[in-house]
Amino acid sequence: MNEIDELYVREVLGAYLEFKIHHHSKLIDFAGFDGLNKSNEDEIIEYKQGKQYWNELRTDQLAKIIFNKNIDFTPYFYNDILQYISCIVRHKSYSQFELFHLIDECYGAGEVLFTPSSKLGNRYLRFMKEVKSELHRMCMFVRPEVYEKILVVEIKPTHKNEKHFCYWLSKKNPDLLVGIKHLSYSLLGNAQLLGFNETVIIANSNIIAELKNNKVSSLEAEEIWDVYYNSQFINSRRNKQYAKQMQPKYSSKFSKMAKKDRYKVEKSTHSVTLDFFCNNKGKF
Amino acid sequence: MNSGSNKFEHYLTLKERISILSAGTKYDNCNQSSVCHAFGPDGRCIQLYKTLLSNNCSAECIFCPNRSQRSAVKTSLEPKEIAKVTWSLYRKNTIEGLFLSSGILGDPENTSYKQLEVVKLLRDEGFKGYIHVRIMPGSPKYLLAEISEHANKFGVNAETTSSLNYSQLCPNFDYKNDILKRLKWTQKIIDQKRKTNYMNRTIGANDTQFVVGALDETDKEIVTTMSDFMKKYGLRRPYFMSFDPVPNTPLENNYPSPKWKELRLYQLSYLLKDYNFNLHDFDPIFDEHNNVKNLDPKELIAQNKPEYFPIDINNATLNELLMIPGIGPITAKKIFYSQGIGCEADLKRLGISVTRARPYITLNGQSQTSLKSFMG
Repeated sequence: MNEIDELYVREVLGAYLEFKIHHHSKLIDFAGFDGLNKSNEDEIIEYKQGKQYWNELRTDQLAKIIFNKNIDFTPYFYNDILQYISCIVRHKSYSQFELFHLIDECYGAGEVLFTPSSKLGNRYLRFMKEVKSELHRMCMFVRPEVYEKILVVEIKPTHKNEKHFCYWLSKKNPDLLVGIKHLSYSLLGNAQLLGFNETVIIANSNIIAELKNNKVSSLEAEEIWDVYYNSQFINSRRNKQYAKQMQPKYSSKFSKMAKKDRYKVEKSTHSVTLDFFCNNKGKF
Repeated sequence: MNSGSNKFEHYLTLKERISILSAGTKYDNCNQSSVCHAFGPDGRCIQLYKTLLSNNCSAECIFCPNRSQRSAVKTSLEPKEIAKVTWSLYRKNTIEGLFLSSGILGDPENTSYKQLEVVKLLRDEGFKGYIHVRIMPGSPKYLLAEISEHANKFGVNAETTSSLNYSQLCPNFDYKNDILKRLKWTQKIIDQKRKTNYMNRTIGANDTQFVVGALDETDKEIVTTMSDFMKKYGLRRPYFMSFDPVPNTPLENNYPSPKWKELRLYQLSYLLKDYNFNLHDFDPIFDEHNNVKNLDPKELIAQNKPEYFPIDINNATLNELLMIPGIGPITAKKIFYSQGIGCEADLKRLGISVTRARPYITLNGQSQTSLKSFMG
C-alpha cells in the first residue's frame, strides 16, 4: 500500500464506519478531488468531524474493525482487500452506496469480496480488475517527454488513475519533477523537490509549462528503442498470441511509441526501404 | 583460446553496436513475444534492456553464436555507453531495468569487473531500476559480492546437467569449480542480503539457465538437475533455452530442439517450486526415452493417481487443491479462504478452468462420472 492508496482507503473505511453509527447521516462523495465542493456546508462539517475521529486510527486498525471475522487476517488478504477498495473508488462507474452495501454484505469477512455470489459483487470484482489493469498498462506504455528538470506527459485514463500513475512515475524518477496533464487539471509529482510536503500535488498547468526548459532529445531515445526492439526477434520463434497478450490492442492509445510497437506485433519488424538498398543499411 | 577469423569492424556507430549486442542476447530470450521482460513484486510485467557488454568472447562454447572461432562482427559497449542508453530508455519509460550479460572479455575476472563498472555507475547516478547481471563462469568471489551490492538479481548459467556434458559444451570451463561453486556463493550472498533487508531493495532468488537439446542429455536429467539445484542452491527460477543450430558453429548441422519442450520444462519447474510436487511425482510425464511428453504434465500426473481423486473442493487442504488440474496457487488460496463453493459458476468466477478441473473434483457430493469409471 502506497501513501495514495492509504489516503483513498482510509477515507472509505472511515466514512463507512461513520455511516454505520449514524444511519441518518447523508452520504457524500468522499473520494475524488472535488467531491466535497458539491455538498452543502452542514454535510461537510459532519463529514469532516467523522473523518477527523477515524483518521486518528491507522488504516489497518480501521480495516480490522470492519473485517473482523477473519481470525487469520493474513497479509495476503489484508493487502488485497485494501487494494480492492482503492481500485473500486477509482472506477468511473462505481457508486459509494453500492460499495458500502458490498462491504456490509461481507459480515466482516473481507475475502468474500473476491468470491462474490451476487451480481453486484461480480460487477465490482470486474471493476477492480479493470482499474488495476489500466494502471498497469499505463505504467508500461505511457512515454513521457523528457526535459532537463521534468518529465511531462498528457494522459486520458478511463478511470481515476492519474494520481496513482503520477505517484508511480515520481517514485521511479525521484530526482526529476513529474508533470501530468489530465483533461481537467494537472498534477505535479516529486513536489517535495520544490519544497512541498507531499509527493503529488495538484498544480497549475502554467507551472508545468514554465518548468519545461531544455528538452532532452527524445528522438534519440525513440530511435534507440526501435533499434533495440527490432533486434530482439527471431522470426521462427515468434509467439504472436503471447505478444498480443503482452501488448494488447488498447495499449496503442497510451503513446505513439506503444502504437508503433503494437503495429510491429501485428505485422513484423522488417521495413525494407529505398534507404536499405542505397546505403546497404540493415546488414546486421 | 584464439580469436580465430573474427571480422573486426572499427567504425560502428553506437546504434549499430546496440543492435549487434542486443541481438546477441536474443537467443536467450525464452519467450519470443516482445522484448525481454520480468515480473515485478506487484505482478506487473516490466520490460528490460537486455544487452551484452561484448560479443568478442574468448571462450569456445560449441552452441554459442558469440564463440571465439566464429566469424562474425565483434564489438563492445563501454560501461558509460551502456549506462547512457539505459538511462535514456528508462527516462522514456520504455524499460524499467537492465539485463546485462557478456561474452568473456579475455578472462572472467576482467569481464565481471566491467559488469561491476556498469552497475556501479548506474547506481552512483541514482538509477532506481531493476538490474539483473548474468555472472561469468569462473568469476572471483569478491566481484560477485561487489556486484550483489548493486544488482537486484545475479546468477550464473549452468547450461547443462553434468561435468561431462559441460566439458563438451563449454570446453574452457569446469562445471564443478566455475559453475556449481558460483551457484553456492550466489545462494549464500542472497540469504545474507535477505536477512539484512538489503536496504529495502528487491533481491531476486538464485536463477540459472539450461540449454535444451544441444547434447543428447535427456529431459529427465535436466529436471533432476533442476530439482537438485532447488534443494542445494535455493534455485527458484530456472530458464530454458531451446537449442537452435547457429551457422559456423560445430553444432550447425544438429536438429533444433522443439519449442514446446521449453514450455513443458517451465511447467515442471513451476510444479516443483509453487505446487509442492516432488521429483517422483513426475514419472508419468516422461516417455520411454526419458523425454517429456507434449501433454499437460499436471493432468498426466492426476490421471496416474486415481486414488487421490475426486477431491471434495470444500473440504480440501491447500496441498490437495494444488494437485487439481486447472487450479493454481492463487486460485487454490481463494477457494481455501472462501466461505464455501456452491456451484461451478462460483469456481468460474474465481478464474478456475472448470472444464479441466471437473473430472477431478467433488462439489456438494456430486462429481463427474466419466465413461471410463462407468465401464469399471
